[in-house]
Amino acid sequence: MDTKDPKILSFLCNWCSYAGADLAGTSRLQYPPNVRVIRVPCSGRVNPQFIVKALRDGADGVWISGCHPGDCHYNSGNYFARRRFYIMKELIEFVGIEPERLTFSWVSASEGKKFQEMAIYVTERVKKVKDKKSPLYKEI
Amino acid sequence: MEKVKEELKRLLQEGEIKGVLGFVPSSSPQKNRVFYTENPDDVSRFTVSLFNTPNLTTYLFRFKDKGKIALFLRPCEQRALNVLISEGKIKREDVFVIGVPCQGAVDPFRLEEQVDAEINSVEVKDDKILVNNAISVYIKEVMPYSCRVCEDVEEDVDIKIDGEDKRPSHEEYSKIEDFDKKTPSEKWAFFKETFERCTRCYACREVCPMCYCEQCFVDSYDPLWVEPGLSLQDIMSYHLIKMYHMAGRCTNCGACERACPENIPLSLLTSMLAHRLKRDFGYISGKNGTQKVFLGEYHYEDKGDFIK
Repeated sequence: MDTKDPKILSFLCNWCSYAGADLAGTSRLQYPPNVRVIRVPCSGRVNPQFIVKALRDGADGVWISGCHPGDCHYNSGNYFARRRFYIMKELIEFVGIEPERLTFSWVSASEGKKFQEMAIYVTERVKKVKDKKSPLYKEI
Repeated sequence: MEKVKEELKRLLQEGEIKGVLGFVPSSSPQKNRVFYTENPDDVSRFTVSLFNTPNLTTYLFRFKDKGKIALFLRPCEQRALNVLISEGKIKREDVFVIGVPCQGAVDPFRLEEQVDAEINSVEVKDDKILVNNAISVYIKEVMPYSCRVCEDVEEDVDIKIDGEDKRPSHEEYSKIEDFDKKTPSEKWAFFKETFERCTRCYACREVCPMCYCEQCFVDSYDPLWVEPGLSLQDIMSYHLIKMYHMAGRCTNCGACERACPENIPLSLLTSMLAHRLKRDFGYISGKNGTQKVFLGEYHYEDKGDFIK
């Protein structure tokens, strides 16, 4: 992997998207290695401040994935998360950070194929703007 | 106004209210001073004008468990009180609301910048302010953007000051919609130019009635959400996270912008939040005291088309 390749921080919910990633793995579906996974209990665990912190500290993109609406292991975590992500997405776009850097998705445990497609999609999207670093990134 | 003052005096004497919180003229005519009194004789000093800068609900936390406090509130500030009530921070029965006919509020720092001289006197004439009997400035130009896009409140006041409610014209967020059409790099260039002046003095946080957390995220060392220093990245991280915390709570009163010594257009961000919540969720923060907090509830049919 080239060091110039984008780094994408992804937050996957334990019960759906992370299991989806597992299924993609056991089904031997290839997906780009740019995606670095952090497993979270629920998409509702993802504080939208994580997005700002990740972009500030050097991630080129952030991908957050959880259970489909109605499928949440904790009944309503993803419904709350949906509103939070909406606010953060609008803020990020409004101040002029490229919208391509931020992707949200619902991937269920049975959607190994969708996980692969999403990983490819997210990477391609971030690559479009990769020639310059995120405006929020501060070099040390 | 005189009738209201008489009534307040009577209430203070009879002990129905503990004190009155309002504004009195200060040594700088462009910004009135916040003043609290429990003495009925001081009531006559209170004034209501364009130059009442902060949002008085911020000060309510200092009077917790002290008794019933009367305070002067514009419609947007009444909405802020409603948010605090619905968050369980303040009880409605502890507050005596005096409704103020709103004409908007002037940003004193912006007025100083426009006049570029020491301000000795101000006089309001229709849509202009006459400064030092010489320079006239359009009120609209020295007002935060939020004053042009304010929303109505379901009024719940204990007493109302008579007077015409001449709030500036409603512009229906046209500035926000125009801003949305810019490209990301143009937007970032705008924020770079304006927010680079931020010295992170946190005046916008201190003056905000919604910023009542005992420990703010910027003061946290672990996790270190925002690093110390004045790089644009850290400034923007601070404002982004602060605005995220404002979602559905900020009533767009513009107090933060009026408190900003660097004239940063903070109300552009707060107006954008108000615009998005109204457009996509039909949500107006603080419309009444019973409405749930935006991020504390959800509907199955909420907007979700941005999620793949």
